[in-house]
Amino acid sequence: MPSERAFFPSLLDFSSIGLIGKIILALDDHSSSGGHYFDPRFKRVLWYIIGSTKGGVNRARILELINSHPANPNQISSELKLDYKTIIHHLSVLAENGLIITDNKESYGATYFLTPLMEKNYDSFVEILAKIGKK
Amino acid sequence: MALDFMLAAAAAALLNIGLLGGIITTYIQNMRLIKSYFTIGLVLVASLFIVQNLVIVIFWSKLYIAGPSIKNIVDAAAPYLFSINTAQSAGLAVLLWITRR
Repeated sequence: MPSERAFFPSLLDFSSIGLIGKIILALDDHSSSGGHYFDPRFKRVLWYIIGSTKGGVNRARILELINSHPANPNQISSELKLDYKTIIHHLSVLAENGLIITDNKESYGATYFLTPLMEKNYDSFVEILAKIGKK
Repeated sequence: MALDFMLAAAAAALLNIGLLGGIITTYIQNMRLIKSYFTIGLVLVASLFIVQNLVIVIFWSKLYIAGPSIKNIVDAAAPYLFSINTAQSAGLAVLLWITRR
């Protein structure tokens, strides 16, 4: 089973960490759910992209759609009923942040997919998604 | 010269309030759609920064009308406060750009 700590094993010396480090690791352990581990740092990036930027909720909708089936900007635009240029902008931001990838960026009908990192951490996204629209 | 720094510091604080206004607008819009510790926390942080800059503006206006009795202190402090506020303006401008992107 992949562990979040496996990302930078050489950078972390767990035997010499202080109290704050232990607290952070303890908090990290709580961030796993249902037996699946995900990277808390990636979760923070997701929160930032979705929760603190203009159009973050639409970006979440795009990620959800791409997860259900890879799609090109036209398909995303018509399915989400959003302006094509808006979709292109959101796709660009999501791609720059390593959440989605395309087979051919230059092509008009390029299909977008989730990156392996995003797929691996999809549970984090589901957690955020569950909070959208809740009162 | 110190008066220039003092006015520039106050101007930077007002600019910061404007930048924070732009940032907090997005944060509030997101908080209305996503209720979480993260979105609520961002609104709280931005609100406190606005309070900080309002206090700075009030503080400097008080010093401005205090007269020559504390002139030396004001002259010595003005360049530092100007630097602090300008650095904050630069940081907030970057944050606004990221937020509105």
